[in-house]
Amino acid sequence: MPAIVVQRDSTPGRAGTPRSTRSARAGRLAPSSNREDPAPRSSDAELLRRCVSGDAAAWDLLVSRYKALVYGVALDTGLAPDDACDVFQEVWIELHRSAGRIEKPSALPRWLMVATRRICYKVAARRRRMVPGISANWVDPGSLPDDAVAAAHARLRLEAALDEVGGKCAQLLRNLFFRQPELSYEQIAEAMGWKIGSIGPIRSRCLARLRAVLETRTKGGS
Amino acid sequence: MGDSHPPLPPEIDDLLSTSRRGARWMDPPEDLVRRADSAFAGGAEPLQTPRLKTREWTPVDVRSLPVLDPVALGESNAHTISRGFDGGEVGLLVVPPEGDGRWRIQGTIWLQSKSDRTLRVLLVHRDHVLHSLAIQSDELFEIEEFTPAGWSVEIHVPLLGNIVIEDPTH
Repeated sequence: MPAIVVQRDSTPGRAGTPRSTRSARAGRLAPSSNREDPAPRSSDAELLRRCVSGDAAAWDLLVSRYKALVYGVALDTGLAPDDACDVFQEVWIELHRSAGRIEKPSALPRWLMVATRRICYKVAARRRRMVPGISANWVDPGSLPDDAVAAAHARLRLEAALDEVGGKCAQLLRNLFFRQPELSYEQIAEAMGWKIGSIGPIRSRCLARLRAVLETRTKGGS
Repeated sequence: MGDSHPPLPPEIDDLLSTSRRGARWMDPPEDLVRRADSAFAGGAEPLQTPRLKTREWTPVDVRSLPVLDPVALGESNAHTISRGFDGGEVGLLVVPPEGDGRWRIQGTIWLQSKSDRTLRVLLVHRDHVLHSLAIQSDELFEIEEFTPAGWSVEIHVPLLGNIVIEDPTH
């Protein structure tokens, strides 16, 4: 049996799920987020509106939705983990200061990536650390590649659909899609507490559900 | 997916492929997430900072400029900005970056009516509030920040309004 590793790649905790249930358990795969209530996923615009009016729960939902994107962008630059932590914190402070004036709330992923890259450069420059992946043009929002934004939106679309699928299905698909390094069926079976022979058929059913949800969401314009 | 997994439906495969062209999503440590929450819980920063029209400037009688850094004033590329408004005056010294994107902005705000009112100074680029400071009248402030050209400094004066000073190089 191959060793089970704690995941590094992330599955953002589902909005509203208590953090204690989302944390990785040592030596086991982190539990994937489960949809525990049928509340529709709030839009970023709605959450920002609520944040501006002082709703701390809305702020928590935004952090939960985007924490892995912000931290991932910071780490992907090649910054040291301590520096990436500083960047992470500063990005949320900047969002807090700016929440009332964000021009396109639907483009929040881009806004967050722009802020993260600029702050990565700032942290590296202030500490006089040369990081090969970071350049001075990162202070310019126009330097953010469209591909990076498209990638974030694709991930968010999957996450939203998986939230709607919910339960063990979402957990299985997140294990299949997002774990780094990729998991074998054997590892997934252990993580899910299932027999290995059941993974294939359940996978097919879950993919069909995900596909249906994506189709419905596309028709509904979300 | 690895070789061991059967193919995915095309639309799901497309989404996954696209999502993998960007940054990896990585869960931060929980204590770090709590610090992100505290950015909200602190509540010190203004969430809503509506932009008001810049006031008509009155003839300049700037009391603040003499206190600005004389060394920086001597810099060839530094810009001084002095403005008067109904109720006070503003003096800024702006030193543009030399290739690294780091701007240096010094200034003071002088209010005719002395009080302990706290003024808030924001450095803004488009819809990003990059820096925020709380100061008193006559207090020298300094901002060093990495931003593209085209920023603005907003000075929020309680009871009077919001003064906007644009990047003089843009």
